Amino acid sequence: MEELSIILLATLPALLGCWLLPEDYQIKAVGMVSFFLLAYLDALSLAVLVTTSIFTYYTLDRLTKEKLAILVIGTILAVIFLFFKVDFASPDDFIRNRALPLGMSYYIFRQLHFCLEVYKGNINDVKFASFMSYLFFFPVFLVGPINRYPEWEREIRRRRWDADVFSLGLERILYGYVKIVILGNYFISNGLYKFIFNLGEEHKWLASYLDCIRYAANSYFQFAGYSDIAIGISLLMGIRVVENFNFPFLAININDFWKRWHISLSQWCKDYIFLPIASYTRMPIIAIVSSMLVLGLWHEVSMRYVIWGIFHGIGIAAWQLFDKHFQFDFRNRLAQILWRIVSVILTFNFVVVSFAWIKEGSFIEALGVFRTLLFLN
Amino acid sequence: MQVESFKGFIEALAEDRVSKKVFLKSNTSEYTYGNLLTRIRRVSGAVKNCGISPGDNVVISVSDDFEMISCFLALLANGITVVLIDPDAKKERVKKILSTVSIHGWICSKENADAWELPETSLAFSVEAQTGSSSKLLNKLLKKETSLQKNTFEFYLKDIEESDDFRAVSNNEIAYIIFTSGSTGNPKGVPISHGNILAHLKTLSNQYELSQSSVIMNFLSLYHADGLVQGALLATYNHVSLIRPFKFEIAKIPHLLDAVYKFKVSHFVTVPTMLVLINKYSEGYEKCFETNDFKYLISSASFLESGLWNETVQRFQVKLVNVYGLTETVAGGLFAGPSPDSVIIGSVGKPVDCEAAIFDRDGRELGENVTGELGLKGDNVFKSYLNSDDNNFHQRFFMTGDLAFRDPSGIYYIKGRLKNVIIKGGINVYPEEIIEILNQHPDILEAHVFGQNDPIWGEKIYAAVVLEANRKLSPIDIIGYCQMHIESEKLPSAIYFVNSLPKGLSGKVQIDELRKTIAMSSVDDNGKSESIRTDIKKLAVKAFNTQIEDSDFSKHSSNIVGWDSLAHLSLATNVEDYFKIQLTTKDILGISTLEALESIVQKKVAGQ
Repeated sequence: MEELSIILLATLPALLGCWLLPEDYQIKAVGMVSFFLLAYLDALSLAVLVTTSIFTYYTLDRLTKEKLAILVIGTILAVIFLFFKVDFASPDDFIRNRALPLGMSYYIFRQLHFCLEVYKGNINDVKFASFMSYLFFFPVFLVGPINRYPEWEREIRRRRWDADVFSLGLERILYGYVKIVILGNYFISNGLYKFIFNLGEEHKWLASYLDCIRYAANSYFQFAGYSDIAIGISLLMGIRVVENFNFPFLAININDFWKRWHISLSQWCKDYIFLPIASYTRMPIIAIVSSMLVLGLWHEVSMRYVIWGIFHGIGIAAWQLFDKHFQFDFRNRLAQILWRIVSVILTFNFVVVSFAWIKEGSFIEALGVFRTLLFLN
Repeated sequence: MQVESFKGFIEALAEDRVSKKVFLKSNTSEYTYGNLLTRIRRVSGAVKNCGISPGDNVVISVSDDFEMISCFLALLANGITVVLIDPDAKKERVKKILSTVSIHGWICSKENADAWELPETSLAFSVEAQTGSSSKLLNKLLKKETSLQKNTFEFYLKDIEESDDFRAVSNNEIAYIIFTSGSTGNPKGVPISHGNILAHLKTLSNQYELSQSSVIMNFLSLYHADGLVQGALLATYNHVSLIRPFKFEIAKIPHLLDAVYKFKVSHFVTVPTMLVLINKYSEGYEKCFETNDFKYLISSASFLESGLWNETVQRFQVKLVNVYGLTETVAGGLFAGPSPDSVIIGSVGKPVDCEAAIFDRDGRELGENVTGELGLKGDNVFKSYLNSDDNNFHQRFFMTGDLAFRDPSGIYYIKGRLKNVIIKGGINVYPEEIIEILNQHPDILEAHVFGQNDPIWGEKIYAAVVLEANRKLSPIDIIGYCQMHIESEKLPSAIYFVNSLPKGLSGKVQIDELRKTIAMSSVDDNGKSESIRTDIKKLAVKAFNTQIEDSDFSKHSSNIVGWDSLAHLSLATNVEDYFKIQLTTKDILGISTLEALESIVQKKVAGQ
């Protein structure tokens, strides 16, 4: 909720700047709001963002050997990312007590995307101010999505005052608020939690299963809610950003799920982890597992997220093999519907159960949940 | 409000509700109708100071859109005839133009005035555009005037007293003269009267259903009828905004399509060549015309093929109006659309506010479904060419030189041309003009020029050249030579060296024979390219498990069914195995379309 309040508070000056100033300065003004906001909240966050941005831009601009530039930028950004996210030091160590720079998970991935698209030749001749405005765009700064530069540039080019878009933005903010506060906080975190708590020892299996659902549903409502608010505020500024969720619990297989859940991150992993590794090794299974590993580590550099990522990677690889060897071609409409329902239920349960790896405090506790769910206790 | 004279036309700009409206969004700035009126008054004052009288001819050849339009309107409002010369015109052409028309003044860049050796006249403005610091934020916030650079038109005009004593001009007086390429290689002046313009602007306004909220986007040259009339004049006549934010180029197509939403464009006037390019490079922009404001896509200047028409309508889900017209008819004449009864794909629709008829070689009017020469008659049709004895009129119909027929429902279809003219991207090019230049080269024995069908340009200009004995020239040498003498749009797209030109008994060059000779020389390369495409298509079908058409080659991977990340890898490895080539990681990452893959394979195969 704190992040939500920060974002909503910063919206007003950003809106004034982006509609009242001369056109050339409007988006820069939004970037300046992020700049001052970060300076006020956490100077370290500002320093990391400014330093990495300048470093990335000028390395790409000045280093003529593009492969070397990508290697240097990729290594340094990865080190910074890991330095702040890794969770292995002792509790009284300085390294353990460092603060996580605000929005770092998003802007590091945006910068890597930018580098790789420059390498692929899809981004050319970007001005420094434009690059900085992209990275400092505050509606998506703290909570994503990981929007991409070419789409961003296009939106800047075509943006204008449009009452319909503004109204749609307000609508999305409201939806986001309802998802976070009413559905996520009130019904799921409060209502369902109490219900599970009161189930008692005789319903241990049901309690474990419902707790997985609670965690999955709350994650969805929180995350999708914040995405709605980010998308909504962007719309208030006349800018459309990529959708991040598309009814993920209606996915018909695990591959489909990752096209619907945190879309901007899963697409990022597909484009910048899966494809390069698959192209280089020509071994898709390794590429899939690597992608899901990175996807897991993006959330948190810890063993539980490593396991969660690999769990999903194996799930996708298994589904790919299944799909390659077993093609069901139901002619009967009823059979098609039934098969779809079964597919959705199976995928839903795979996803929900996988959250056991990350919702528990330790690996042992997570295994306990699996034992309960598999009636091994 | 539509007005009946240019005097009224200009005076209406002073109305409060008009003067604050945006008139022009150009590549340099944004101008209101108030700005336009002030500039017209200043230019009028300058013209009067120079002693230019009604009926005098003044050349306008200015690159800046705002300066060009304001000068044009100022001269018209004072009854002065504008002689339009494209700023890119070459000295030879300008010389020929000036030999057919006497001029009393000129407004053009100093560079062109010197290069063209324009005569001394009482009105001689060299216009240099204001550049640099006009948009500094501080100046804007403080509403501070930026200093004017010397030698700019604005600097000349700043001390000129404004004049709003515009003249009532009769409809028969000549408003402007545009020079087309004549069939003999000499430019042919087309004088358009005030009556012609006003009648046609009224027709266009009604036909396109222009309203106060309309916004016209038109990137065509202001020195051609479709840019001038269907852009600047049509916008001013209806007091609506004209959008010309940059010069058209392929790299700017996404910007152009985004401009439709950004500037609330309602009418986009274009030509078939632009439409081909827009269709080709608009992946991901299919919904760009689906805005609350957009009304009609207008294709003008040259023949719109059925395939292109269908593709455009289907791709963009847009209403398209196909206009048939000539410089001699101001701009249009026949319209396929927007009224449903006139829209038949492949046709040019029905005549609007003018009459059309089909005649045979003997001048007899033909009935339905019989092909003959198309004649047009109406208030928008000019009276005669400048200083020319050519009789292009029959029974008061202007004979267009186009072969056409009319179906029983009154719809007209263009079938070909009587005249020997190449229409490249909507611009008429007479081969004789280029042949004359080529034949003047000391190393060229003889040359011939002809049009070759082209999916993008409609027609391309091909030149066949026979060299003098023991002389050597490369195509680049010849193009370089042509560049010095003819405008860029008339430069040949390809130069072919032949031993002799095939000629008939009468000595006339047999173009079909010449085409065959040239086609034989390029068949090998084309055959190889086609085979790579066919093979890639087969491999893509196998990898994506779906049908692939030629039109899918330009589609982004995300828009092709079955092209997921695994299929991507499968396609790449299959291509490697099939063509016995090695793709690098960068190659594989760069395959965003089948066209991109085709290009990579072509390079790798050629390098083997």
